[in-house]
Amino acid sequence: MRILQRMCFIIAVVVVTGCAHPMVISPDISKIERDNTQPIDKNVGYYMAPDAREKAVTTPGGGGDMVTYQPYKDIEAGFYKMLSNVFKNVTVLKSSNDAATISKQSISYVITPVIATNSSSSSILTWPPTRFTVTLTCNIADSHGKPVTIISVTGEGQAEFDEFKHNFSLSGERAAQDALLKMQRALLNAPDLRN
Amino acid sequence: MHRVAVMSLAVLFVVAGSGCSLMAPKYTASMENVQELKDAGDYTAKVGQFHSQPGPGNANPISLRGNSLLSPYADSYANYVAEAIKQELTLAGKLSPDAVVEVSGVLLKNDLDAATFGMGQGDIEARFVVKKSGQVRYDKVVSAHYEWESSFAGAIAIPRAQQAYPELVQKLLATLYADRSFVQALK
Repeated sequence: MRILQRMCFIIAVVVVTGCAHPMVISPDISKIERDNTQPIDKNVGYYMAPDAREKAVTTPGGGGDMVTYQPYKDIEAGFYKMLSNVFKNVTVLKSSNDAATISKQSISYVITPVIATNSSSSSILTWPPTRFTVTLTCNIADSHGKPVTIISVTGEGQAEFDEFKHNFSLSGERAAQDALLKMQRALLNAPDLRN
Repeated sequence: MHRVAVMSLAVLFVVAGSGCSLMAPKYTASMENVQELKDAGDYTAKVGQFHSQPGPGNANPISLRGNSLLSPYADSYANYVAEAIKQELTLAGKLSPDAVVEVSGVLLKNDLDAATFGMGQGDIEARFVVKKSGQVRYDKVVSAHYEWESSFAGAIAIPRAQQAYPELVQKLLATLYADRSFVQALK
């Protein structure tokens, strides 16, 4: 039975070649938790443009194949959770200068995230990536649009064959989680944001 | 030698044709849904029991061109819906294990169709019950339909159908949260 399962898996990852394999790199939001650091007593809003949310990115997998995913859409729930851990209240903005919401929600900072990703694989036989990186940059402005700071972190994720055979997106999920936790630490440690 | 090659090929086809088990992607919260729950006012809620009622159109596992699509939550699609609500209540800051308001439900329909070559489609239906201190405040059946671009090629059609499942559940919950009587029942 184990041999049959293994053959089945190998067929799935070897025979199904020649196209960009869809995957989802959403991290497990229950793992995006804050340590004992005091949160920042400010309200924030963040803006993701609709075309960024729908943007599909294609990066290398293994065996010459590619993988495709939607980094903004996949990471957004984790991003929201991370910001909720850091700040008093988080609001999703409809535009970067959504003045009515900024005023109504007493928003101190407007955050515009930029996400860049890459992937690779040490395997020539299987397509899921074994290494993944997620670079998350937060452009932070005050409520009037004046830049306050830019913080950038890179999360890394690795997964080997025995781990990813039940979850082809594992290295991507790990990289996204690592980036969010690093960003959380960087935001909590940014003195500019506590003023 | 020729016999061995033919036998090997036959085994490959039998194994490939028997279909593999695939996992549906874990649920990803919709921020529109989270904002709806957050904007609904001052309340906390917990998520109770969700179970599945066997019947036509309520598939588990879901069949995608001979492949079995399993739920990542203990192989249960009722658990998938429960997890989805939990995630969105958590992000909205409204989930509390001590809340007197409890959302529970029964999954009635749950299927994806990737067999057609043009468009894939999915249908889901669930009965949602909201109780406050044990008293029923909401009891309705909510359904959602979702379509996506499919393909003749299974290598494209099957993963696309797999990715469509969380979108179908997001749409079900968006329909539920848009019902003002559901939001009122939470308070």
